[in-house]
Amino acid sequence: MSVASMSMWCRASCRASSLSLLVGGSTGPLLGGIHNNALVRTLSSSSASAAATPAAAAAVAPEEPPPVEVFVNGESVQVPKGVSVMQACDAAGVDVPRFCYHQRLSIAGNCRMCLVEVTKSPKPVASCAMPIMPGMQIHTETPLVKKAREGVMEFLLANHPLDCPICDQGGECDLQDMSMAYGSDRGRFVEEKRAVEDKNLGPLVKTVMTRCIHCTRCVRFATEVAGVHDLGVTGRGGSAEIGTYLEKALTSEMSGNVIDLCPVGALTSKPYAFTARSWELRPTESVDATDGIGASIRVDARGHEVMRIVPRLNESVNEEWIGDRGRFSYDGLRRQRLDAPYVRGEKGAPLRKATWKDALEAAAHGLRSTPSTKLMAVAGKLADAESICALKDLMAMYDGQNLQVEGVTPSSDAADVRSSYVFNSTLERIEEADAILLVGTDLRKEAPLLNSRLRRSAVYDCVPVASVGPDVDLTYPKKDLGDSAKAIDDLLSGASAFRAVLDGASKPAIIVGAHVLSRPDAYGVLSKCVQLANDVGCVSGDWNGYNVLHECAGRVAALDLGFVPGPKADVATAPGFVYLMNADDEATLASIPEDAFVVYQGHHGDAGAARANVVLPGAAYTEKGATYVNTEGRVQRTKRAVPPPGSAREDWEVVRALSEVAGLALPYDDVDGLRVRMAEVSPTFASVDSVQQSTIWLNGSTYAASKGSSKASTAPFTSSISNYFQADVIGRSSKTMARCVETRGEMYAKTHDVGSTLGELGEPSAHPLGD
Amino acid sequence: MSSAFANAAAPRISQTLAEAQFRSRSLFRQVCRELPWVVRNYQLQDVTNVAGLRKVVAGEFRKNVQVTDKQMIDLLLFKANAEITNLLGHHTQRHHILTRYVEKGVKVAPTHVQVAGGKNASSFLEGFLQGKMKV
Repeated sequence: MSVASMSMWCRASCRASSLSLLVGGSTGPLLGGIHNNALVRTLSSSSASAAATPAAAAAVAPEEPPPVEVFVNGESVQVPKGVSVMQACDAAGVDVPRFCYHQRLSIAGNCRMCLVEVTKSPKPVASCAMPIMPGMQIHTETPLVKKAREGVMEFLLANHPLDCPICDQGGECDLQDMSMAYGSDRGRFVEEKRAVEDKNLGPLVKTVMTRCIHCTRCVRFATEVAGVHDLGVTGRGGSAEIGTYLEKALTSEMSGNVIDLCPVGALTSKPYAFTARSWELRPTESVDATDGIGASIRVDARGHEVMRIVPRLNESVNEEWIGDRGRFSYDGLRRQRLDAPYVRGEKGAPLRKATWKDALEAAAHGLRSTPSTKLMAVAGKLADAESICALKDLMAMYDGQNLQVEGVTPSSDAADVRSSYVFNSTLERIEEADAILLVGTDLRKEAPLLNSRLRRSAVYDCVPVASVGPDVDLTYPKKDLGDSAKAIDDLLSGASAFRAVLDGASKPAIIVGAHVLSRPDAYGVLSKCVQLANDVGCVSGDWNGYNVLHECAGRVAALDLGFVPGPKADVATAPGFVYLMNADDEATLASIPEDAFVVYQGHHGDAGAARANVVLPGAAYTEKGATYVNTEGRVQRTKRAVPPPGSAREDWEVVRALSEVAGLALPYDDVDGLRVRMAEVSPTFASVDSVQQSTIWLNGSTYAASKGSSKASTAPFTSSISNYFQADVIGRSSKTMARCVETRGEMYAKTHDVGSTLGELGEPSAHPLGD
Repeated sequence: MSSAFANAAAPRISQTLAEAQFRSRSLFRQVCRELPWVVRNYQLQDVTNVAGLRKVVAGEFRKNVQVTDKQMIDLLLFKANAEITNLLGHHTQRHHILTRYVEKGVKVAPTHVQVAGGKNASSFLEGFLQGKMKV
């Protein structure tokens, strides 16, 4: 059986097992056990989404054959036809140990840990690979099974080093746990242990290959999910080894996930190596703010330091993966931090450390002494919704209407209709699309998690994908239609062959990259995209396939809150006072005139702080309970894992304090009051962790009244991210990310010199945590 | 670091009251010399500073200003020596220092804030400037 067909079988069986939960839950015993928990959440969330889309559920339901009855340890359980013995055991709530089996990967069946006894079978069978038969009698607790498990454990441990005390996996190791639960109390091997040379997989994944038990989860993940054929097995039997065939670094943006998949300590995190033990860490369930996907993460901290970031299960957003930037850029949270306010005395003078009082008074003076027509505020890529809302209210008090979102060509049209700037189909349902067009985006850099979903569609369901934009390797086949707006014109007129594919699809989807929003001709291109989406029927029934993909966490919240130029704003007027909220983009800074008074609020001393007259230190996303809205419009909240460094404060508090020092205090003193205000401005903020579907679709005429909507230049589309690892200030401050760029230099040209802004902050401030 | 206090374990007996008082003054100076190290290594920058700690330490010494019994002074010196040795050896932790020596110490941030229009600062703003963390 080929890898592809096995994977399809795996997907089919996963879908089938969602029904096994429903059936097993009603008739059989309750689900339980360590491994089942993940599965239960997986299944319940997918069944919930099926319920939310009755049409889809109805289309699937008639194909399902009637359930089959099998007996697990004598108890009857009803499961769908074709599922594996292991899934039947899971449905019955019986725990079967496993190393190589993983519900999101194809089935390898090579660890032999999941052996169970089946009546009339002469040998124990590998339950992950054996399909059930009607009336099958499965036994998991017999002496034969116990002996088989002990034997497997003994073989695995024969060559496994006994270095748990110095192993980073210690305390969260499947092999440790299983040898305690299922292993024998003695071994019979007196021969020398096998040793394997360690492989260098780049700056992120550390290998101790002697510990490897050859489950091949990493190989299957790289091949099937990440779509890079970097890892493989060489040799046979005792000389089998996992490795890259030639010595090279992993080339995936999701490579860190192999660390979580590895059941032993063979693949561990290189930056985390020897820094902490799992039981010392304080976990905080939070949300990733380093990209627009908003993956669910767990921030593990010790004292005041973030020690590592790992993914949490969230079927509708990130499944159980996260990208490498979100996972490994946490060391950037300790370097280049703004831990005190800074004020620049006069023009050209260096920034000097100041007290909060002095800094706020300087900023307030700048705000009060500037006429309202020359006030400008920019919501940056890492800004959270609370601070954006507070800043919007602050600017409103001074009648400053020139509000801009970083990376969006300023226009009040940008936030007119919610369906024109969010990922309408949602990340989960994009897999239902049967034809996909990408416009001006490199998904692999902008959203690796979304890219892996699209890869699944393109490779396993053969969904046609075409791209108008940069010609890059997305790890699956795609058709290149050109790189400029002309290609969209061809699709509109029908001159392009892909138009017929889109027309023939029942759920076509268009994904517009964030690059398009930042172009001078943004509204010309967007109106074409909206028109095309309307012409090919992207919006019908409960399906809206017009999607805008944002590469950063702050933008959708800013647009939801209407952080766009007001009716009286003249964006052409040179601003005299600029408030940068986490805005560090070169394009933003280049648009600020020399003599403008700039207040920068943020957490890193990067380009924005270097330009500023007053620097107000804020908190990073691990240091505050803040709201972020991901690209599909899902309102999510982070939690404070560690306190902000030095005298940095939560961002909305800074704006609130500034408003009072300036003389007009904002009417909220706590974050709850502010959140009530946010929900007044945009009702989408009233419910957290859910997507408020935008139902308004103006039949493709969203930008009809927009100035310049008919113009679109022939300038080529690029990606909004040129350097995946250093796309934001946290990544640019991270040593690990710099190492990644160095390792993959030919793929990611270094575009930003981290050290260039160091000298601008006057005396270097020693971070209390040191580095 | 703790070499200056290495002989703390061997109790010294002051022969005269003057010697005992001299010893307590030199211990105070020794402690003062270690305070920058303490601030740095216990990360006390955002809650206090060297001057604030020195004030608190001086207060601790002044508490016993009325003691004239040289044996009693020796005992107090012994206890103070033990305390500073523990501190320098990192046997105490940050929160010990915070509860014993910082909370009754100086405030780092100024409390009086001038708000435009001559109004008094709200409790929010005062808390903000003092860095009082809301949970």
